[in-house]
Amino acid sequence: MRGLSPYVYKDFCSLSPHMFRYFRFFALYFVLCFLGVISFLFAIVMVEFLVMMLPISLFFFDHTCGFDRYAIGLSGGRANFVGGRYCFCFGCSLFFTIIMLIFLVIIEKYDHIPTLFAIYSLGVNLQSLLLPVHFHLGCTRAKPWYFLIALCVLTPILLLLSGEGGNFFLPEVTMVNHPVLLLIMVILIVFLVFYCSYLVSRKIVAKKDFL
Amino acid sequence: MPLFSFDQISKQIEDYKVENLTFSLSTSEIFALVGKEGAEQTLISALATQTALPEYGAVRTTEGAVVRGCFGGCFLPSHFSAKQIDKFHTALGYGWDSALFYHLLTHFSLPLENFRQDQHYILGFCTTLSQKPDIIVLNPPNSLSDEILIELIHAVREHLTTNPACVLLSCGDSVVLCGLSDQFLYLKHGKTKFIGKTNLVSTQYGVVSLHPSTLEQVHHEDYVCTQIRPHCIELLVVDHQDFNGRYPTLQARPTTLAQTLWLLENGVMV
Repeated sequence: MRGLSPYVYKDFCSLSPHMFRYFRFFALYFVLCFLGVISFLFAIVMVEFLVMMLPISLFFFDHTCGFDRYAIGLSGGRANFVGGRYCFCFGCSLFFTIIMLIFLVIIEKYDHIPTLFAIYSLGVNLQSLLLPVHFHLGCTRAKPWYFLIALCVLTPILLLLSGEGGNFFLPEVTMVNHPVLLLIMVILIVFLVFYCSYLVSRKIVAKKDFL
Repeated sequence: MPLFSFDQISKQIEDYKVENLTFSLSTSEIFALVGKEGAEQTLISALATQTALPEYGAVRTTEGAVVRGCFGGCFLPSHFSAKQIDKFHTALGYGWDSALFYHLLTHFSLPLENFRQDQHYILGFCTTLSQKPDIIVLNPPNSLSDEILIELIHAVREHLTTNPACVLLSCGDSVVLCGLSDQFLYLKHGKTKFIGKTNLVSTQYGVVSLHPSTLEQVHHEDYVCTQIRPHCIELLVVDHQDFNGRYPTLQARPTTLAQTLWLLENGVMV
């Protein structure tokens, strides 16, 4: 884990000049929520979509400055380069989810919390899907895949949200007899998929040529 | 026993291709890769640092030897501050020594913020040396001035006095850089054309053959007199029973490294 920290730090520094732009988007969504233009759940989905974009932007920055091949030449090697990216992506999603959670608690929208959690899980799983694609194809060739995957997953959710008038089905789903059990199962599945994705990416990068 | 060797390496990535490449490096040796654009020095550097993996053949090192290198232009996003760079490299835990980096930047009056390609390459160079590898691979971008490169090679030489290592250096077609190395490999389109010692040009190369087929496209006599002769101290006609009965086989003896590289580049020396 210690070997990954420089890579996580580098990713954070790479994105830091762009963070302010993303925060402006988040602020805009939440202002629109308060004005009643969009539902809170719609805002949550959009924020998750933006959070997904952050690590993808990193691939572009790395490609532009040639960090990927530089990182492989460093003592950390290929495995830490991949591990660092996964840690950063996971941390990023978690950070923004916690912010949204705090926000929901402040405005006392407790019924949206399971949905937030579900969308967060979905977001992490999407990253699990997108990261190996990016490691394999590189940022330019992976871009169409990114939009395709994001569109396929997010469109039904957004349509569902608009149809439900902002009341998603998940609060009812979590009313089953063992909500904690369900929660643990979801967490385990998300982590397992994410870890498998990491292993796949490691394998891809181990065989990849960085020229 | 060589510290590092390429053993019949072949590799193709898109249009970049090297074929059947074999050479070896010994301790404290600077080995230069020389050739014009398309010689595939970057691909060879990538193969040496294992950022690209060979299709055929193998890159061999002595057991436990560490290969580190820097090639190309930038490495970290240009908005990184000197403090962030320091922190990143210190966190990697390999003993990042920033002194040489700041010394070189100050020496060339390069700013510590808003890095351009020069600063980036110096950074990559310093991180490579800091890791104290056994094999150092340097592939500077074409835009880097000879002045900076010469200083970097002097820094490498100093490094080699205290650290047993060897250096694989891509020189482009720079005679000056090639001259600062111990041995050089001349490449054309990813194929070996010539391997020689740089400090023994006139005596050790001996007489080299001029291939008649390379003279086919030009008026033979004029070409020899105006183009080839100035690059050799000797030009001997050794065989009148020649190519198509028109062009005698010649032998030339280049006197300097520059002349040798010229003869190689123009396809005269084979």
